[in-house]
Amino acid sequence: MDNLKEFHNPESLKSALELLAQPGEGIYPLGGGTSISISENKKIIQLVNLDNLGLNYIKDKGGRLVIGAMTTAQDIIDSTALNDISGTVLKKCAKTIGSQQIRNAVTLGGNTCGLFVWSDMPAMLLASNAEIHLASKENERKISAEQFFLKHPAQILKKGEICIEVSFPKLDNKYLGEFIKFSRTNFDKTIMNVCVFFYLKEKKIRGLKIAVSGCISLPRRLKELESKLEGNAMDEKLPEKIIKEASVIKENLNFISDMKASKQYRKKIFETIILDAIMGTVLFS
Amino acid sequence: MKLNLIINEIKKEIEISPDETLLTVLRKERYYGVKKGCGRGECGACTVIVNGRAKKSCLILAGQMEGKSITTIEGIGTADNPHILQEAFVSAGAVQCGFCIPGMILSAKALLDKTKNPAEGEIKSALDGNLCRCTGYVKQIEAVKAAAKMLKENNAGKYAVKKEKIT
Repeated sequence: MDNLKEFHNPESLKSALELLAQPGEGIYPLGGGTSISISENKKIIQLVNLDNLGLNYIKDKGGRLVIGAMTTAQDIIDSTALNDISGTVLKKCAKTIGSQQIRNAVTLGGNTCGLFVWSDMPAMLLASNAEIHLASKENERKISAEQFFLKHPAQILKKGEICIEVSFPKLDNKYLGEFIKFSRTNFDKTIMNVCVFFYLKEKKIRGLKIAVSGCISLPRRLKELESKLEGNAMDEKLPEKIIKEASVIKENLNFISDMKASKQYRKKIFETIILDAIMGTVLFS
Repeated sequence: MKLNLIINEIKKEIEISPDETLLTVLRKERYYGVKKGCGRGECGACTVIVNGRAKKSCLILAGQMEGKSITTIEGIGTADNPHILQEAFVSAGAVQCGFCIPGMILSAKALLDKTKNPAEGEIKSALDGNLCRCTGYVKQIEAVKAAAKMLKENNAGKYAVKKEKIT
């Protein structure tokens, strides 16, 4: 960041939004800082630190879990409020992020709005029908995770707009859920993330949500796969069905290549990781 | 810009550039126990404790530390009066070249400050961001277990914190 000239530490959301709304380019919000600190982005001229705005909280608001954007992965892991299946799955997701020191710094807002290919939380937010709460100097708005992740956040967020919190519905006890991060080592960046939620009614899959990230350029719900598996019995034929249907759907996905794995490898493992996620809910619940 | 923070219980006002990392600033302030390994948040040699939590100082912009309390390896013990963790690492044979050790000890300290009797899995999780090319980690995990036991037995542990200013 050779061109970084000013660093702001505002102490209210209003001040932060006013700073971010200044005319001109080059004014960026700073969350945990784990990506920006090693960034070589020469466009960054001013940084607005969001750490002192009181956006670190986890609340149970009558049926919805509401998490402030500056809540760290470790805060999520430590939370006693996240005690339903969606909260449990989010905790599991947070535990897969980086190493201990990284989990102490990475924030939900940064993981959502930075949306690096390796960001782990977006798949869970998609599968849980989360809502992203955005704010700017002019107004506030809420957007579904599904809408938010249609494009890269840089194309969704307006100038000076930041995420201030994320919420998702609590799920009752009938639901099962799983999050799998497939990576080379314990704290390496992801090769593929999968998050699933569903419940069983008369031993059949109902309310299935499947989301993937890390293997394609943007996180995505696999609605085609959901519709193929909805209503299927949880029996000995299900694994074969999952493999078969996922193998068909993956032909329409654009897998990515990076240092961690080739697109060919990601395509090869795709249906296996999805199988592990769905069957893991039953085997390890 | 001026940065006001606390380093090893000493209040400091430091002149920094906005783009400097905490690692750079700490080493400029002569806290040489904070090591630059990879500079990219992979190795953990730069680990410090910030408001009770282990963090990688190469991934923190110094400006983020306004008003925060930092503990470096210099702040937990001295050669004459080492922290129980430092004693335990030496006694267990957990130190070879030593480069990763300050960061590893601070990760362990952050754990033991929060969890008095951690299970092996918790120790491994707490140290999972500290790479060591020498030892294979077995002795380091043993050292943390031993330190936890010693701290429990000694009740508060024994350590000295440098109060005098570094000149």
